[in-house]
Amino acid sequence: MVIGVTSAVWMFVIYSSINNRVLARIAGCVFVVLLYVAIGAHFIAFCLLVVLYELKNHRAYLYSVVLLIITMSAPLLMADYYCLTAKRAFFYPIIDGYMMQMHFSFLATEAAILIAVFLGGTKIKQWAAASIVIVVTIAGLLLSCSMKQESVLAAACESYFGHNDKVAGMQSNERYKTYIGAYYKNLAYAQQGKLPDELMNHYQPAYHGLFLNINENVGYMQAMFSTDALVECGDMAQAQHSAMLAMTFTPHQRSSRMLRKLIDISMINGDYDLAEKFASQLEHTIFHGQWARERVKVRENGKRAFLSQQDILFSPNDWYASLENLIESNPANKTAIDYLLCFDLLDKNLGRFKIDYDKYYVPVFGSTPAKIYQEALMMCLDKEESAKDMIYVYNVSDKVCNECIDFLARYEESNGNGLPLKEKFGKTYWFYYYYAQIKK
Amino acid sequence: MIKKILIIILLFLALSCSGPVPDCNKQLSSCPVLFPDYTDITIPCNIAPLNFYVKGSDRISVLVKGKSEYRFSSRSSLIEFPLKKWKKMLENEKGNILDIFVIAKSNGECLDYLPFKWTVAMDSIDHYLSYRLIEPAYEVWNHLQIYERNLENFDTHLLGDNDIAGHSCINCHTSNHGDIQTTFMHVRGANGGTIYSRNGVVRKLDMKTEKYGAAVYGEIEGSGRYGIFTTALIMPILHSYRTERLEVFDKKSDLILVDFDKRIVSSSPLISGEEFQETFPCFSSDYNKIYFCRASHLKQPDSTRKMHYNLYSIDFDKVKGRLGDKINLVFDAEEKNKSVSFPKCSPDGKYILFSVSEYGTFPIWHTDTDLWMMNLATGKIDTLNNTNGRYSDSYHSWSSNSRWIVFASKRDDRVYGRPYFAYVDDSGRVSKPFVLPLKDPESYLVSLKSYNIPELYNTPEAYNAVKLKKLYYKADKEIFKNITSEIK
Repeated sequence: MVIGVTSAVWMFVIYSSINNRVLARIAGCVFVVLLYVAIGAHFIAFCLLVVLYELKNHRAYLYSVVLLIITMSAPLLMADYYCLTAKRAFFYPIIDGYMMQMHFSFLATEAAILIAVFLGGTKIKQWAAASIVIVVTIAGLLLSCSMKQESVLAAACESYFGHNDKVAGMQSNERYKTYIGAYYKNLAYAQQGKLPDELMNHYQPAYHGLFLNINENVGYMQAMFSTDALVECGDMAQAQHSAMLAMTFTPHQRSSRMLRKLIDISMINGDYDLAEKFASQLEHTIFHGQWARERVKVRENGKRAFLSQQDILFSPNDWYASLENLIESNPANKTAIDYLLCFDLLDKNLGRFKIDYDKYYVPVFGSTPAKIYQEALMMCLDKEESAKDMIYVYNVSDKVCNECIDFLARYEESNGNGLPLKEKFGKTYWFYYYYAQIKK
Repeated sequence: MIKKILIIILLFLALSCSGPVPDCNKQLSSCPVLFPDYTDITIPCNIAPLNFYVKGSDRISVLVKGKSEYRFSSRSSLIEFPLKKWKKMLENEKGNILDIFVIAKSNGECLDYLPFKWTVAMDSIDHYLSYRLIEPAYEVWNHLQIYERNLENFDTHLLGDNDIAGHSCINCHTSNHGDIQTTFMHVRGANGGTIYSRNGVVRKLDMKTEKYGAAVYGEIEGSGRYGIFTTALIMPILHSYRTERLEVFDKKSDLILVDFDKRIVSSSPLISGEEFQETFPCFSSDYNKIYFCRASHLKQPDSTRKMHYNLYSIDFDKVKGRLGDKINLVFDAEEKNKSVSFPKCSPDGKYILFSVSEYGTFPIWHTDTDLWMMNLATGKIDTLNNTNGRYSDSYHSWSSNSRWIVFASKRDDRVYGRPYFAYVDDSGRVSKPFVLPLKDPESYLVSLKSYNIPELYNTPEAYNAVKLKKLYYKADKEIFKNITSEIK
């Protein structure tokens, strides 16, 4: 955008320095077409400058109309040549929803800069110009900036740079309550081995904060983000699928972040030729070249141990099929087991939780259940005849038992009203189970 | 003064000219590592220059020895053959075996490699190749383009771009290799249809069936009047194993016969129905037969690995447009625990080339997919060991003279398909393949697109992307009468 507007302004300077009016006007018509070819949509800046200049200095109404007609016609006439639709021909190279939230903010900013340039001269005019630019910039920021989206991007960026402590400490998602914010917090805790311990300590949009669904409608950002938890669990099949999908829908089908992810996944899979192919894309980049060259040399990767050893067919977003397959391939994959159990809990599917807990958690990690698992077990065991013995067998602590008894008593006292319980039990699974509403 | 300036300019020009690498004494006992690998191959006498890189070199000198000698040089690791000189060389050397001597300068060292060979076939390849560029992102797409490439030079021509066709899927640009070239291409989406091009007339057709929707894979017979297509409910699903990626299966599939003149879609119980799944039909070279793949219907995805498609044929009366009353087993792939897809007959009627995988009906994601060729006179199968690569080789097409095949091969990196050509000699031996030459072959490395469904033909397509855009948005669809449900 800066290069575009600068080129347009410099072209205007050349235009205004031509003394012969006839020659200048012919040049104006030629320049406007050349500028469209060279800088695309920003050529409008040149047209507006010339029109203002001609109207102010020469009252050239007819010429201004002619120039505006040429400006409007150039994209339409060249749309076929550049294989663009009529709308895209006017805005190319600006990409909708990526470089600009809204097209009009681009136009408003350009218009404001132009007016400022045009008004420049006396001090009063300079003040007026500066005020216009400031007002339009602030209005543009207010209209196109979303703090909610900023908080999501902040979490995603910190996670990308491996700052798990920062992500875990972020409070913004408690205010904005987004799936992606919750997702990155869960991921940060999972990477620290604390997913079940911290599950109830922050906002949970049911199981939507554990894995991000992807399909052609979710946009490339969500597809990009969805790879992170999949890689963490070891599901390279779905992770690669998501990364490819994200890459496909990134503007110009290029994303250094996804290329890095794809290199990582290929190296973990042992798909070295493919990793080289992706690495060659990054080789000449300033910020990723060195990383790519070094990454393809490291052929050993701890994550390979988590890979699925048996091939099953499953639909994208079928988290149960994916996790069960991963755990059956590697029963010590605690991240996958925690994700599976937390998925059951956040889905309030206690029956399935008990089955998964017995099948996957007990044989390897059963001696030290996380507090949330103990809380859930209390609810599962409550229905069994030999509940007391089973509580002992499952290593549920006395503290959790007593808290559970206390919760149930207060629940009955309050006739199901959650408010009196929130302070003491707001961060227990029991409170989530009884009071959280799940949006399927 | 002017004289001095002229001398300086001439000296500068002389010094900056690219000259051959001086003779060197370091003889290597190996051929150079080229990208792409163009060593020891058979090439058409009309192919575009086979520009290549010699990895790690700073300067290259190439000497081609045939009936005559031809010298080329470059001041980088890429050798670009001048088009005029290249064409002249191939014309002079038709039918000859050329020895290619490469001398490269690398880090100040002069390397003299062992020569490799190019056999210049007497047979030319079709002038044009169409292919689709698609991100290999499993089951969805974003930006799709179908190009027509002139194989005698590097000119390309955009046939379709979904950016200006409602972002719909565009696929299967296929030619009939007939006297009057007829092609079709499917454009999906609300305003889409099958784009049918015959003798310069382009139509947009709606051939949807009530059962499964639009036509998919298919072929048009020589006169351009009849076409045979698959119509199917296609489902994508993921593999969990790390490098297997995607499985695509047909939940149901049938074949439909299309009369483009009378605008009728029909079928036969022999090639449709619930009991079997039929797909990938093609005409024999005399158009008196239709070959197709068929498997018993099984519940999928549970039984996807048990889906083994065999190759069958059914007679076809090209005058009356009628299908025969029995089907014949041509190749029992199930017996070999294999599955056949995408059969294509050579225009001379001698061979049928098809893809063979372990199971299923979507060969491009099966790394085990190979091309096999059957001699139609003897029934003998050639597994083309010299031609198949380590990963999927599929979606092939014959040249009009039956001497060249092109196919999409993922041999380089498992995921990105590239068009490879191979020569089929008089006795049916298929040569080592070579990749489509590009002006700068590095494009293969930096591109994140797969070359998909390569198709050879001789006459340039009658439309381009802009005309397709107009057809998509402005032309009315010709609705075909569907009588498939009336056939018992």
